[in-house]
Amino acid sequence: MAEVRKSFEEINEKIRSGKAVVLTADEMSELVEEKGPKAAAKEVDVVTTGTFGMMCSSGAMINFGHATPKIKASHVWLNDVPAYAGFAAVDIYIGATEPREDDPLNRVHPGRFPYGGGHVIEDLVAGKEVNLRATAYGTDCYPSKKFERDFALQDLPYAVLLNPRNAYQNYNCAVNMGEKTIYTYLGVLKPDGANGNYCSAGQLSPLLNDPYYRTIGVGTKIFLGGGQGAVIWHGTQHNPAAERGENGVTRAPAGTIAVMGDLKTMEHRYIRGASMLGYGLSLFVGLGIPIPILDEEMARFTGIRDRDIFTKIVDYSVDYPQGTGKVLGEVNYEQLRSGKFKFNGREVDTTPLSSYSMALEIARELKRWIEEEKFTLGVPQIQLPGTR
Amino acid sequence: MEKTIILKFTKQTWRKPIIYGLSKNFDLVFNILEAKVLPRQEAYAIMSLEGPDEEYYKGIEYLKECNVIVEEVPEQIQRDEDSCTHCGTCTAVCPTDALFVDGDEKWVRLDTEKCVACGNCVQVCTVQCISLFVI
Ligand code: SF4
Ligand code: SF4
Repeated sequence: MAEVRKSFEEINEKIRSGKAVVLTADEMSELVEEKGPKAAAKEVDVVTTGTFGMMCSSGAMINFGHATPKIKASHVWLNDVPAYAGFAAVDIYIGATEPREDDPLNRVHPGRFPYGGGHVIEDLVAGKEVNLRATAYGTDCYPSKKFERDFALQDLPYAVLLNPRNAYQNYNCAVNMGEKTIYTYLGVLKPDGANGNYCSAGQLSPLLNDPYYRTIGVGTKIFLGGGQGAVIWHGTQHNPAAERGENGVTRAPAGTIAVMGDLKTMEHRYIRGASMLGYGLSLFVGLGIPIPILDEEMARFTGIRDRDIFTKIVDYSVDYPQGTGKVLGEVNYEQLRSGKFKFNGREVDTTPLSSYSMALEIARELKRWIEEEKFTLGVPQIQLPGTR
Repeated sequence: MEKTIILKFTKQTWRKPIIYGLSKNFDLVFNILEAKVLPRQEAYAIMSLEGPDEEYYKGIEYLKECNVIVEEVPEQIQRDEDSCTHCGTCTAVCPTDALFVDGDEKWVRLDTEKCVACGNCVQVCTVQCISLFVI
């Protein structure tokens, strides 16, 4: 069999003419196992991935338009959640983890954190009105010192999701070897290593299907919150140098992406405010990336299965907060996904924090976009650091 | 089955080792969640009681014969199915696996039969879609 080589352009042409063969990442894994990467590369043009989890480094960039008289806002609150206003007159950024100003936080531990920046974004996407309050010092050109109005998403001239770090390529499995229950961004961890919490879509996860970022780069078009978005840069803490297995897959948290998309195209189902008991606030983001099968290597990469993906078991009672770098062991996603794994001579119950079912739904929806709506692939204009 | 029940005692019955009889005479395991003696020396205890169905009913009969007033905790869990994100966070704290990750596609399901209305999940649910209501 001749070597398979396809370009982005060829694949896009197939998508436009309705001839592209598209599989979800789990379907691809089965095909590669059955027929091998070479035959799979020949047969398949695009593999769709998905992930749905709490992604704290998320937020929305908003311009709320000028009223008369004009204001240059210095402090802004959306439903009493502070937004950052250190931009031009009516530009603001609302971060997902920002608590409401009167939140008792962890004063009564564990705090409940019922409402924050993520919920403001969710409310906007759900079509609810959000109260905006602004104060200012007043200038000759922007005389107003106070402004208040209720806005629905459609009233805002500009509202985009702008997430500096999403879709982590692999993540720790957290345990608690201490003596009391702890409340973390990876959920509730019972003492004595009784449960292990993990947060990756594993074999469905975008960057785990393109471990060296060969096809995902700046300009890649993605499914973001139910609407169309794009990869705009590598994300904060992007670390392509993380340890990798022989298959090239990272065995620890590694690559990340920064993404952007128009809030007005998004769906409530895929953008949800989140509260983590005793920890704080976040935003559930649904994200999916189509991966072109350019050659046999890409087929092999996307053929990855949960059992081929390993991650580190880390103690969140001491080692994580103190940054000791100590690792207790390794576990693969097939074990994690089974609900139990053996560690330290005992059975550990696992808890997923990233929804596999929603990730699957997103990968399937993205497949439908490509097949029915002729959603084409964005050609990366700048590669991410670590591209091979 | 495992259920949460409330036991009410009078001044006389509180002093007797009645609860102990549940595990001594029947194939039952109990776990006292809360117990209080009220001002007039009446007392109550909230506990979970677990064992085979038949033994459970025998145990309840026995308590009644000992002049203890038995009430099942009149609460039930309710989940807004449309709102649930299937993140799985709640499964870490559910003592009875009433909340569990189901099948190949890993949707998070709630089996209300198994729920003992402990309320753990109400606190941890990331989108506040679970509530307890009094029946
Ligand atoms: S209240 Fe929630 S955590 Fe407690 S048993 Fe019922 S479902 Fe499980
Ligand atoms: S924590 Fe809440 S949202 Fe998450 S699976 Fe449980 S019920 Fe659903």
